[in-house]
Amino acid sequence: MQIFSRIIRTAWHGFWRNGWLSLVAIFIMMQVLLLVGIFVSINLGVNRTIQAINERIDVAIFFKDYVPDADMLAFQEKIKNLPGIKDIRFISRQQALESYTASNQSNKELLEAINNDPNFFPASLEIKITDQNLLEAVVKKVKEQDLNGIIAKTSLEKNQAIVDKLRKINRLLAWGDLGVSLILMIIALLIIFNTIRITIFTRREEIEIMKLVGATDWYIRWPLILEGVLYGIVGAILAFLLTLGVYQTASLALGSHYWSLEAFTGAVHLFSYTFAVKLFVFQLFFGVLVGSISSYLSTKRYLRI
Amino acid sequence: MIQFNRVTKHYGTVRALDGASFTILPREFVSLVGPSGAGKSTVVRLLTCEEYPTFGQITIDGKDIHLLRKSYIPYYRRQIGVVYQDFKLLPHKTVFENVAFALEVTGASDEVIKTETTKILELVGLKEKVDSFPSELSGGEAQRVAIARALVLHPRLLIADEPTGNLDPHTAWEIAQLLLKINRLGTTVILATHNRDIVDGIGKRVISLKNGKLISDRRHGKYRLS
Repeated sequence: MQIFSRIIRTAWHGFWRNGWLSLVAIFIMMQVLLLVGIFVSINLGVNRTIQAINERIDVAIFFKDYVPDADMLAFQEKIKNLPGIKDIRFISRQQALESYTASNQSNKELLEAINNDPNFFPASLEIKITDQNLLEAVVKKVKEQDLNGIIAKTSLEKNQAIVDKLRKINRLLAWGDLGVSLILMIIALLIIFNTIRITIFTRREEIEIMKLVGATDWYIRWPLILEGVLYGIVGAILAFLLTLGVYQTASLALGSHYWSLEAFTGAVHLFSYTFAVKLFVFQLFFGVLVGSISSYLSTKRYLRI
Repeated sequence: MIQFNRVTKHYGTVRALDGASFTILPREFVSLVGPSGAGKSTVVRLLTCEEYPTFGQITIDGKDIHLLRKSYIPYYRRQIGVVYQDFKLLPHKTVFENVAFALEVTGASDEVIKTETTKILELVGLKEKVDSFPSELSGGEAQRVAIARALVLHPRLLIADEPTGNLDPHTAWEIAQLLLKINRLGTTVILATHNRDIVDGIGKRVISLKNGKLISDRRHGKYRLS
């Protein structure tokens, strides 16, 4: 207990009495954690974009002309519990016409040609799937259930090329995100490690003296590790406050309709309290972990005498 | 009793110490003299287990100190006090904290630390400077702090490696007097120095080293290198 309080006191003294060094370490820690914070936020945006793209990938099933609505609804009941299907919606001929008319109000000639004919568009089942990679498999299973041969065609046949392209974009986004994440994390690690190594380097003589006076390795090491933890905590708090500021500014600037790219504003809206707290916990965890491990590793070589 | 038994220490091709044998009895005051590079500091570093001999043994009360387990070395070091030419004080600790540190590492209680530290700082005459930082001290004062730190654990052996090297003659002589006083109180003292006036003034046993070899060992010696 006594040794515990002594270690904390030593760490606290070391932190304050090496004022400039601590300040520089905290400042660098803050910058790196800020980078990490901004990056995690962008990550969230990218994930939202991927999700949004995935949600667009769905499939519509069209039935042969003579099939009555009742049979289609019966078929919907039948396939509704197939694995991989998230949601099925029945779009009647009338609904299809209404939604098309609603979204093409400006094109009067087109609407005139259709002439409100309820049979112009076919009825369909719109299927949303849980994982876009299962699209082909789900369509195959749905077709297997079609024992009476009432399905005319699916939108997949027409859209295969687009689906493939969307998948490619998604993959690119995911891998790019991962690659940039890794590089940035490594840079963050190295910057923090080097900073702490310098703070320990300037105190190598102190470590040597403590050893010569008869201090055990851990008695010397703990206060230095705690100082690393302190850099992490203070750096994380500052970085968090700054991230918050950056986000507020960004959401104010991007909140205008001019910029309302769905994914982007989505990400900004996602910056809720929960996300803020999660981000802070992540920054804190990252700072404390990297700070303490760096201190531990940097101290090692000077303890050899 | 400290015994050097044909101790040789090589640094690469340099022979810092070359087959040195001598014995130091409890409560003795020994001056270890010789020019720079004679091997005085090597003797000190071997005694503190900072270095290991290439050949030979150093025993204290019959035990080879270089066979100690690594994890035991801190506890061994608490039994010997060492004073250095450059004082080796912790720059971010006050005078009091520097001395107290030697007690803290042993797990002594706060009360013991307070009384012992105060007592020892009184002995070296630094009662007024307890809250000063090392950068605010004169060379003589800093060396007194270092001596206080070395003594606060009541070691049986005090090693002083050129303790007067950075001090003016008057202050140097005061430090020598302090070492003599400590010796009179029952501590074995090894003083490594090349300060002729100090050695001659002390008039105790003198071991002379030159190029790593022991060239003379006199009971009431003077500084001489022939």
